[in-house]
Amino acid sequence: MRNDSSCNSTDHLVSRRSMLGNMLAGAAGVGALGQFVHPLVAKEIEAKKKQVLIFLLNGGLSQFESFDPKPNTDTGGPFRSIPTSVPGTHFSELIPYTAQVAHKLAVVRSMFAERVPGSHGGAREYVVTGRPPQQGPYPWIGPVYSKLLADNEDLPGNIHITPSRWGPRQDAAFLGPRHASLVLSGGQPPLNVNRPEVFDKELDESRYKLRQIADLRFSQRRRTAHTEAYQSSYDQAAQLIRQKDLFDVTRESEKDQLRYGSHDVGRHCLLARRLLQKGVTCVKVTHNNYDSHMENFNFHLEQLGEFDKPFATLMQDLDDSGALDHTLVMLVTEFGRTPVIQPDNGRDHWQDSWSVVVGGCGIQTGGVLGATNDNGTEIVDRPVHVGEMFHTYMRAVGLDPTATHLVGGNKVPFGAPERSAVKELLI
Amino acid sequence: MTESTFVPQPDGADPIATRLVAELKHDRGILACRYDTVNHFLFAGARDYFVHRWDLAREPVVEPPADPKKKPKVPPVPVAPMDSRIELAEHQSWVGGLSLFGDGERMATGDFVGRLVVWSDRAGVPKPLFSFEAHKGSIRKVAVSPDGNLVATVGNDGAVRVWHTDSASKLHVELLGHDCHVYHVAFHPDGKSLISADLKGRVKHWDVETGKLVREIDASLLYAYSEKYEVDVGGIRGMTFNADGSQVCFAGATGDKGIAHSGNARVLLFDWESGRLLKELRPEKEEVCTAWGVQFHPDGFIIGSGGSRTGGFLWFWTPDNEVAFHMVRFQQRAPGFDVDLAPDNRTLAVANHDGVIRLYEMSGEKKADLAEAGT
Repeated sequence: MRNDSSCNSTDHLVSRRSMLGNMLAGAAGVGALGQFVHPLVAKEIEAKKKQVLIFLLNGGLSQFESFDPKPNTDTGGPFRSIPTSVPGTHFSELIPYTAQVAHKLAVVRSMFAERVPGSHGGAREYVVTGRPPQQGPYPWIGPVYSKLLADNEDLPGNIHITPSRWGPRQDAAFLGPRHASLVLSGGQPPLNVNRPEVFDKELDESRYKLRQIADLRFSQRRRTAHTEAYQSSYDQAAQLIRQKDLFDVTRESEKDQLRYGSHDVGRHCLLARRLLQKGVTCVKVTHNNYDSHMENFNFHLEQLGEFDKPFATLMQDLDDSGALDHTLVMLVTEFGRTPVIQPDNGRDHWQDSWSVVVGGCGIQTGGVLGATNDNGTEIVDRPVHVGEMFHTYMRAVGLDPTATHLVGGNKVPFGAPERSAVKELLI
Repeated sequence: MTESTFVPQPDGADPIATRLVAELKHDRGILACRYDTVNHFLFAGARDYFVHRWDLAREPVVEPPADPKKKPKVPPVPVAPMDSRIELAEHQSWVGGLSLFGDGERMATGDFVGRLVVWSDRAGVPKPLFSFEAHKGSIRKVAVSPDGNLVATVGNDGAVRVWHTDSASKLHVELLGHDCHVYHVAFHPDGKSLISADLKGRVKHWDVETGKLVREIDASLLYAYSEKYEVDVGGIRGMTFNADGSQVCFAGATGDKGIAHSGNARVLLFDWESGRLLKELRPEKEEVCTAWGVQFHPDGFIIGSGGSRTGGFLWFWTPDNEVAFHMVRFQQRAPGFDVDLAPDNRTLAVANHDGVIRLYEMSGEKKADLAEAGT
């Protein structure tokens, strides 16, 4: 597949956004959006208000130590299950705070996917594109949301808060660099967001305008994906310099900083809340170290011990503020972990059954979909494929996963055409 | 192997001759095992909610081959009869802590959700004398004092607690100071000192009577902070004093291989009085695995058990040589999580990941009766 980002130029986006803006203004003038706008367009406008919060528990969260516990079985591990806020539903005792917000979530205990090349990378790509990686590259879901939902020119559409030492990924594929994740490695602001002291504001703006003129002249003669990328990078950098406070989590109240915790994932969740409040369309938080081939129980105890409270706190805050009504929350991992406990007290990769969690807008919460057998070795009810979940993530925010991207003149469906959304999860 | 510096005594154990003599089978991984030095039993904690007791007086049997027409390549290993094992119910999670009182009556066990159980009548029909939640989160190990008046527990809540054994949940002293999971605990043979050891390889020496911290011993060779994964790895997995308390060993692994692989197996031998590291004991060939269990043998050598998914091992060292003079590689790829020495000083019990306790004899002679191991 040819990567042609010129069909996704800034000009196209601006004109599309202007059109929608005009329509909104016009509709507001007559006072009733629904009466005067075509239903399909109204639905798209509705979708524009949506935001998405993605948690990636990187390495492969164990379903046994989280959302599908099997205590006192040969596979179950040493931890107990505890009741949740949903009567009859139990989680592992490692996530007591998440258990208290279970009614704001829907748990899918019957995820599966075929094994794909690339181990973690391949499986991760499958989860966030809904397509086997060998068929790609397809854009990850964050960039897709950035393209289809983001309507604020002054904000990055897609921000990824990562553990330290994570660099940018080429996750936008044919959507172009404008929609690639802006990576906040270690939750830190992008590098060099402070204007060099040698430039005052006026001089810096003059410099920026001069570069724009040069870019425009160049692009009128030779328009390539590279020039788009450079232009996009400069624009994004300018945005970031203007809004560097956006990334400063210390501006949140001390009380909130205490509530979320001083460890990295606590700060990252609070930063995610801040970014969503400021209007960023898609925020992804990655939490590491679930690849527990060795000492699975120790590592899950440690990692979920960090993750549980800030995640639940953020869910509660989003709910309290009303943001859950327009924010889709996804908690995903690339695969599950083996029922069999390995010799090093570990669990290996397992793509036959694992759990994901969704909540917020568009989702029927407070339930469990699918089931595994008594010791978690196989799915016994309602298998759900990763491709189906991709469709579901789209539908939940009012997007049509059967619609298409235009790539080099070809129509490419948003979601894998052979799959469809999980209706049981949708409102 | 390096040339052995160990010479067996005329009637003593001969590690070079170590051979598998019996299997005590279960269907869950075994985490801890202890010989009953008074009675003919072997107790174990496993990846289930029971304490298991095998009657070693029962003659092991050779199971008939699955296919009678095929002659096995190696002679089958005798197996303890199924009905020689009983299960003792009280725990609510895996049982990793197990320590027997010297009175032949009582036993203390701890589980992964913090429950401490002290049992009575261990040679008859064992019943919980008392049972309570001693820690928030897992109990990693328990230890009974030499006089049987105290039992110490350590766990994931970072606390070391010493309990009176004459009544339920009567705390003698709480010892705080570890800032991470505490993996192991042991009383010094004099009963006056207690040591606790943690994930970061720090050993704290406590005065049992006053609860004061006496000193710290640095065994952090068995710990690493993984820069790549930003996590702590390793810890002290096995720990034991020699009989007179002049030396202490810590078992674990050195180095940082991330979160998917262990470091290299090591046992650290320390002088108790000075707290000085005497020897860093290692296999002849580096093994990416953990040493989980360690025991001193009265004949002057040290036994370690361990392994990983690549295999399970017994190692034998003399205190004057860093390199093991002998190693037994298990047939099965299952680490030995614990090792205990039988009262006869010739038989070893190894708690294996694959759900089997294997008994090894450090002797070329074939014993007629397993029960001798318990006498």
